[in-house]
Amino acid sequence: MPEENKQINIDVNSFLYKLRNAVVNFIVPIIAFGVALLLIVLYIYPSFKSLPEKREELNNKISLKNTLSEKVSDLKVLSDFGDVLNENLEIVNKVLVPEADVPRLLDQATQISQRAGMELDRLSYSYGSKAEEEKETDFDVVNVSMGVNSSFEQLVLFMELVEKAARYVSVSNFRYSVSEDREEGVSRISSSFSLDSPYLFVESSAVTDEPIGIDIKSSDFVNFMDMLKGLDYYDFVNRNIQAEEEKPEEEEQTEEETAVENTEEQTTETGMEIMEEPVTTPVVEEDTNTESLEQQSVFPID
Amino acid sequence: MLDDINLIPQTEIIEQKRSKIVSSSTIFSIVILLITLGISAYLYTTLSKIDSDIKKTETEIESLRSDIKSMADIEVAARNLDKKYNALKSLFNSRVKYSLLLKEFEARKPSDVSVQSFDVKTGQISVSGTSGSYISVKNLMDNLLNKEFQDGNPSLKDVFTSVSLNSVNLDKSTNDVKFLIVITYQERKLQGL
Repeated sequence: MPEENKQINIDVNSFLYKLRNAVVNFIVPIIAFGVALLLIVLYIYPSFKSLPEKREELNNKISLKNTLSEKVSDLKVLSDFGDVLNENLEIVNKVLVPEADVPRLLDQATQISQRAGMELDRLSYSYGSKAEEEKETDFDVVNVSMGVNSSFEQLVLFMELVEKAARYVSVSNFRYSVSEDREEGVSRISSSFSLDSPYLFVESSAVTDEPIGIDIKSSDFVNFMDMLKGLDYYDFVNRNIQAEEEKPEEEEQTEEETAVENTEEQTTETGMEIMEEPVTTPVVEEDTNTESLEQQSVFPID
Repeated sequence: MLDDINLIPQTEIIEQKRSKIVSSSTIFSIVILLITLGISAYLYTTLSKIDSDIKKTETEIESLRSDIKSMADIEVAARNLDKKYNALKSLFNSRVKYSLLLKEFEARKPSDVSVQSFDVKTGQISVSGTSGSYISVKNLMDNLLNKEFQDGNPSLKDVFTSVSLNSVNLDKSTNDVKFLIVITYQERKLQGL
């Protein structure tokens, strides 16, 4: 046993000697590789990984800086044109009013009909729900129903005046029927209109990091504002105007839709055959719409 | 023959080989070390520059923000104007000008046709009336669909897309032809004009 132990000790010593010699010989490469490895693991890899993030962060900051810089210059322009800004704001608020202001709307409608030379027969209003296509912009709508008597030319003039009226009003639907005045020998038109006037209250807040979309010097904006300035502005003449509010009646609408569907079903295509062999279906003179509007009529005008 | 004779002892040959390996590995490791040092230096300067640019930009941003905040009133007014401007633009662009529709219909109506009722809804008009003959009713329908119609508004030449005769009959007492037609029209032709 002691002989065997002695041999093992000699082998171990020999191995350690060779190892020491190898380490001593390769000390420089070992240290150099070690340092290189440490650099790669502790600095190069993490830095390389964070480089794109840092570059993106810088780009975002530069982009934000440019946005803010543009915004500052836009705001300076707006500040220089402060009067124009306020004037334009006043105009758009007259055209698209912030609140329903029904008496003023009714007064405008009355004045338009008078200006067109029409005889106003009835006037009523209701608060409409937001129109389907306007839901995105959150408009509320006042709906004005009017019944007037006029000539055809006056009717066209009324339409034109409505289209040129400063407070935005649009005709959603209308109808007219002609009656002969045998005493005077002229035909008179009885019309009923449904006018929609949207209103929109806006309350913006300053959002520092977001750009301002408007460019008050752009030709589009200037032309549009010029168009608005060219509209007919009506003074509020009759402050005591009275009209009753209508409540929407869903049942009537349903009946109306059914009637339209029936009309469409009965419709036949145009053609010479029809002209040669006239259809004997009697012309439907009854008008459910007129009837319903008459029932709703609440404001006789003297 | 002389080349084949190697008189160097075996131990010396091993020593020379070891020495060669040591020197080449030393050179290789130092080159690697230098490359990693170079990359590290590049990354350090690049990151330092980016950091310094970020700090500089942040300072400028803060300065711009304070400028903007000092003009908050103008910003609010501008945003209000922007919202209303866009809303009005969409309203005016989508408004249907019925005055043009009425004029166009009147222009295309033969003189001996008289309208008794005219009911306009979205995209559809129901018209009832009387005329002196069936031919006049036919002419009215043809005129409405005629894209080459001379007396109308050129921009509305194809405003009416279809005309359907719903009913027609002869009133024997007056010899008048009573009719009811349903017309479809393109709203977009009457918008934004």
